[in-house]
Amino acid sequence: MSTDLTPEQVRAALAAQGLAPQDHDDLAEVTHRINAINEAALALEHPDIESIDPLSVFFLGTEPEVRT
Amino acid sequence: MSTPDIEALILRPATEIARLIQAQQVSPVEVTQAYIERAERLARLNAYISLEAEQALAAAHEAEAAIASGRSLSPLHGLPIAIKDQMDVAGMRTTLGGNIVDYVAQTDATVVARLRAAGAVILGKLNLSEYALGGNITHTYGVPHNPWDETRQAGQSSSGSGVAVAASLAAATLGGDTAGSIRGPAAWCGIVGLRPTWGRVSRAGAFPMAWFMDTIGPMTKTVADTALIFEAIAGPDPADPYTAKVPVTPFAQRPSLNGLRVGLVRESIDDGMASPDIAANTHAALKVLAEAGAEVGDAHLPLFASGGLIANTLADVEAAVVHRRWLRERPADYDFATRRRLLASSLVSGELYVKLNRFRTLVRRQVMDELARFDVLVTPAQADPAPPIATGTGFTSKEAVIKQFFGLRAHRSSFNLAGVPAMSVPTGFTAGGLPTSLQVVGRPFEEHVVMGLGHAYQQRTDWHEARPRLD
Repeated sequence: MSTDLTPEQVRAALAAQGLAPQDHDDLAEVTHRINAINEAALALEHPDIESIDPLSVFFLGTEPEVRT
Repeated sequence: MSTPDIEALILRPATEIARLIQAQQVSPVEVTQAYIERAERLARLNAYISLEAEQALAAAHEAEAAIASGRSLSPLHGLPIAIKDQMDVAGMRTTLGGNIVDYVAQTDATVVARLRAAGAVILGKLNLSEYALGGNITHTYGVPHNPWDETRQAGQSSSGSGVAVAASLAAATLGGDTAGSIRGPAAWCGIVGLRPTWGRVSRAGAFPMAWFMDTIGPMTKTVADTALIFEAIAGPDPADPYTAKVPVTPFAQRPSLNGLRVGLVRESIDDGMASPDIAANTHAALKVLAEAGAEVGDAHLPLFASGGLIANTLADVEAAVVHRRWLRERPADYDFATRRRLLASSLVSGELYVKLNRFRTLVRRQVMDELARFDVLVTPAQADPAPPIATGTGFTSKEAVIKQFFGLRAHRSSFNLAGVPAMSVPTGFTAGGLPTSLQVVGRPFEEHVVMGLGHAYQQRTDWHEARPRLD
């Protein structure tokens, strides 16, 4: 079953943030882009992923020793 | 003072020019004037947004007087350098390459202040992909043209910085690299570009794209040039709380190539991940390194191909927040491709964002694991040579987005995500005459190792001596 957002769903989600496409071409491409991100990210899998912290920066000396 | 042929001199690496300035064999005023005249003559390349001749010549006269009276500030005193228009330079316009911002900066970005403290002459501000995002189709200040083939792209987003060095319109430049924006243009323009370790160089006074991956670094003709500039700008800065206090190891203390462990990331080159000419030149470069004593082996980064997706999405979510107010109030002032990209990134869910940050941690672990086995990792810096200048995004389906957008910067993305230093070094040309490049990746804060390998390669090859025909 496709989980793609429709252009109208994209328009509504943008509007909820005070954003809007400029024209039909904008809406079409924004829809392709977000559907591509969602599909590609959904396909990413790793058995340990739920136990890994979502770090946004890495500071030398504050992370675990590298595994060899 | 016996003046060498100034037109020929400004085609030479920055270190050679700097040495002649220090020895008072050439005047920084003459060198600066020569770069200004060349930049004006080659304005069709759209490298500069603002060429500040008056300010630059005044600084050059001051440098000349100081050096003549024995008050040289550093080895780069009097050297003309240009700055990506993402960073403030006091007294010069900041535009970020777009339609929304245009002001005269009152203060210098830290990197600019450090270059000035070292005596550098600031020539002006360089063109870029708008707001340092990359991917825009229309350019407010003209499309930057690749000096090796003016019908082709110069790279994103430090495009003007790459063009200015390749076309000898400045002795060196500064670029910014969040998701590959120094190494990409460096690779396509056939020059050296260093993305330092995240936190090694201050970002204070530079407009952000994504704070957790933004870096600033040199773009130059040679690795020795890069070391000269890097050592002037690196180090902690109270104005950027994320700069590290880790001491900078001088380039002079770089390790010997003999016995250096070099890991070729197989996922970057096998199974068609790099075009044939680029793959061939990568293998040829590794042969040079192996013959010089490096121990070359195979490295593996299983998440390598997903780097583009992870890095681009995380960076773009951050950028969409940075741009939110302008997106609401001035959407028509963006290039259409930039606007569509930021609008789409505004819709990424929190669940997905956290998932991608978990994968970012995994990428970092994989990179660090391999950097425990090897002293440096290498990949092609770009999968393909510079393409023709784009007239549209081509994103007419989600499949096209997945193929083109996420794959575009994959060769550099794993290392943005890991926060480690990485550098592009020219390795030759394709059959069509376009530059190819090797990416050298090191452990955090080991820029001297990365530069050491690149310098050793350039000591044994002459690709960095090639110049495009422009006049």
